[in-house]
Amino acid sequence: MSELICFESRRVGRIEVPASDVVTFEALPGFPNKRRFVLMEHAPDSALAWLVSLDDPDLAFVVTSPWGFFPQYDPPVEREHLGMLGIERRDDVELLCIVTLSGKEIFLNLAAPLLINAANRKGMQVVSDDPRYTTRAPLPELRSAHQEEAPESAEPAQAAGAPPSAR
Amino acid sequence: MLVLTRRHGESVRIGPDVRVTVVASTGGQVRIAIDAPEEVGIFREEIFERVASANVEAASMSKAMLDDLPKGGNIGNDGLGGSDR
Repeated sequence: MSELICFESRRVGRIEVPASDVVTFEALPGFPNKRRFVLMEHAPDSALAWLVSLDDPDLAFVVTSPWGFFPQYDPPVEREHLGMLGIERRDDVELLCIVTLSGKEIFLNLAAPLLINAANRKGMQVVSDDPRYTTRAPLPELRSAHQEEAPESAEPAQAAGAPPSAR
Repeated sequence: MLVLTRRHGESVRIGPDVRVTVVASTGGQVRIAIDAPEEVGIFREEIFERVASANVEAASMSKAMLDDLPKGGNIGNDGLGGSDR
């Protein structure tokens, strides 16, 4: 049994997780000294999850797999990024995008996805200048769903958690 | 902050593993070459700052904000075009 870590986050409340769940990130831009995080579900069946800092009770990100919303997403991940995390097997790669809420609008950061090596629990944020993607890609479906009843024509999106496309 | 003057073709070492060389300078532009280990991230400052400010904005989310979303932020794995309406 892995040692249990207890932490009081002001964002999501009390956390108890096995130490083996901790993901250690290369410093995230804007948060140079916050390196230890855990992933927690938001609610059962939700595509959203929390990436909660264990170093700062006020720090937590909402994250999601981008492919449920952007099935064509081709993350700006290079071989060197995989090398930096020591990723050896395709199955060990986990990719998540940070979610931002601004008023009633919701955005995904497609330009700088989070990459996690599930095998060694190391993570990093890919900082790219890929012109195809922005740090604030809006999710239009949610906006319309909130204004009134969403039209049934909403395109069924592919299941979240699809594997990243081959690189 | 350390400020150095270097000529075309000259370099600066940052620690044992990082070398920055001036390869050209014309007009107001300086072209530099950077030799660094693979694990050292190298970014244009403005790109890094863009990601940093996006992170700072995203970091202020609370559970209550998600609960304010349609379906209480309980966006299902079917994406957002929920079929339950």
